[in-house]
Amino acid sequence: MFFNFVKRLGIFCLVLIISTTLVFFMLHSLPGEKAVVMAKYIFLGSVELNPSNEEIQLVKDKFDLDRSLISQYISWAGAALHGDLGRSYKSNDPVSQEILIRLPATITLAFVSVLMSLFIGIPLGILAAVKQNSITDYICSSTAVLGISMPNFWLALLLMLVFSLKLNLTPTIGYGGLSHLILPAVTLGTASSAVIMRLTRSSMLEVMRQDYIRAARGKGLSRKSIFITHALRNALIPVITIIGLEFGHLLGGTVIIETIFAWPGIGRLLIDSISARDIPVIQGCVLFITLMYMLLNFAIDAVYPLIDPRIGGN
Amino acid sequence: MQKTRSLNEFLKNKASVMGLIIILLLVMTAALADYISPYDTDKVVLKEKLKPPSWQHPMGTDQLGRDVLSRIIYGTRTTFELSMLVVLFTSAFGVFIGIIAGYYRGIVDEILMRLIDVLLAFPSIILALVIIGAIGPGVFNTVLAISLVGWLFYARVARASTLSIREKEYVEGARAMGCSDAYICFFYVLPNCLPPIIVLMTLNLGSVILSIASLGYLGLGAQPPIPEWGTMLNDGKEYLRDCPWLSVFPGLMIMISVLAFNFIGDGLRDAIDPRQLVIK
Repeated sequence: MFFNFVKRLGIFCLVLIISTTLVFFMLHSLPGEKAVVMAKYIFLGSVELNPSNEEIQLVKDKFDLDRSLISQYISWAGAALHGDLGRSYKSNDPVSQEILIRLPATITLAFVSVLMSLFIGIPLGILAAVKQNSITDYICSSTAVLGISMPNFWLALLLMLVFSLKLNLTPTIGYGGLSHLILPAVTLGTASSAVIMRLTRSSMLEVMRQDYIRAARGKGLSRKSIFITHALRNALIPVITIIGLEFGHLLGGTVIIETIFAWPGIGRLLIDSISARDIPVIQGCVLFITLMYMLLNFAIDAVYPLIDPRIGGN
Repeated sequence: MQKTRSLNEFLKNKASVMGLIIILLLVMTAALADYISPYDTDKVVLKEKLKPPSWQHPMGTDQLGRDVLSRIIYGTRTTFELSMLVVLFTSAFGVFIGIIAGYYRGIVDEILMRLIDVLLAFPSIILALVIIGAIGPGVFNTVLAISLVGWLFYARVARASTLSIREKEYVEGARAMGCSDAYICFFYVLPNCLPPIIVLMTLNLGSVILSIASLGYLGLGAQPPIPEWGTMLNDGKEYLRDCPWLSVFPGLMIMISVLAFNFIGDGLRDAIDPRQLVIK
């Protein structure tokens, strides 16, 4: 158990190091570009205008940008270890502050969407499995394929068209009360529900084939008790993994939905900073998203032994 | 025998057959775009702009008066060309790496698999976004950004199959007959690890289409005036209230294509082996 933990921690650190290194070198792959972007913001205040050669040279000298990429990377990583992610070129605010301000919006959206997908996906998955090959199963399963195949940004536009523009029930975009949360959460929850429903169904069917279910039937237990105590608990183990992964995806992957609904979260910050070529913010976002994703995976692994004593007990 | 059984199994699945028909229709649309498209995709007719669907323009016209149907038809070509390119490239590379890792095992295999674990743990759309952010938007860069992550799945699946195939008697026999490693990999291992790879390719085509459209929608993929469904959605979203046809039709096309590939993929998977692959 302890060895396993150390191994996971090692992989965790490795992922962080590799992903940040990769992103750092990718963002610096165009030689001299960083100085140009910085000069644009410092002297001209916009990414649209072109700075003169003297201005670029000034920036290079001031921030010591002529040294090798490796040495720049080391100083960035050293500062990042102390929690200093640098300052945004655009706003000149510390990157960590920019991210923290947007954290609540992203977490709220991710949490509500996952909750929604649980309440829809798991019951429908169980229903479809219990009534395998019936009309109910057929309807549930095909709706799920539809949910997975539908581009979420298109669903978002359709929902916006019907509920905001035609029926005037919800605000189109923005951040604030519960009413703003409904459309983005439904959009994100749809695909997640479909994924969770499909997995619950197949996992349930798999478990129902096991010998211990036959044994429970042979003992004369009621259908209800077989389902709840024997089948469901085992069937939910893979579902929990997917829930964690979905939550991780939502924390980082809501990029498009946050952009559509003008939801002030991390994903939107990332897109904005990519188009503004705001390198420190891009780096900060990637670091942060990886961190959240890995922490969630970590948490799921910690939950496993509680549900399934076979895991982790050795 | 095995093949006939799998084929029958596949053809019995109505959804898969429907998916196959849809894809054939779409591929034909893409191939025959020059003949069936009613208008020139780039022809700007400003006095015809933002017209709702009618007999002249079955899907209406966009903000520049271009015929939406023609752009959708050419968009089929863009989408299919790009996604096939990504899938062929990534599967070939991934299978190559996977077979080598699985066949030779050892330290290279170990490092490679850890690397793949690490890269797969990272949300792929973010990585694609950052790559685009670094090298700039465009069609080629979209293909590159999606491919850089895409091959990992293939490598993993190919390696897993190779691990079991290399222990088979027929590989043993080939080795005894003095076949070289390259020969064995190409003529014995490769054909036998193809079935799960083909399933993966089909399902992957659907998700690649989604990724291409997502990048297009964010304005980072194919740049105007190239007709591409995601880019068309991006252009149309400003007119959502008054001209919903600009958003509805491209999205519908994306959904139909992805759905069809998912139907085929599900059917193939069930036909080949229901429990061989678990793909989200």
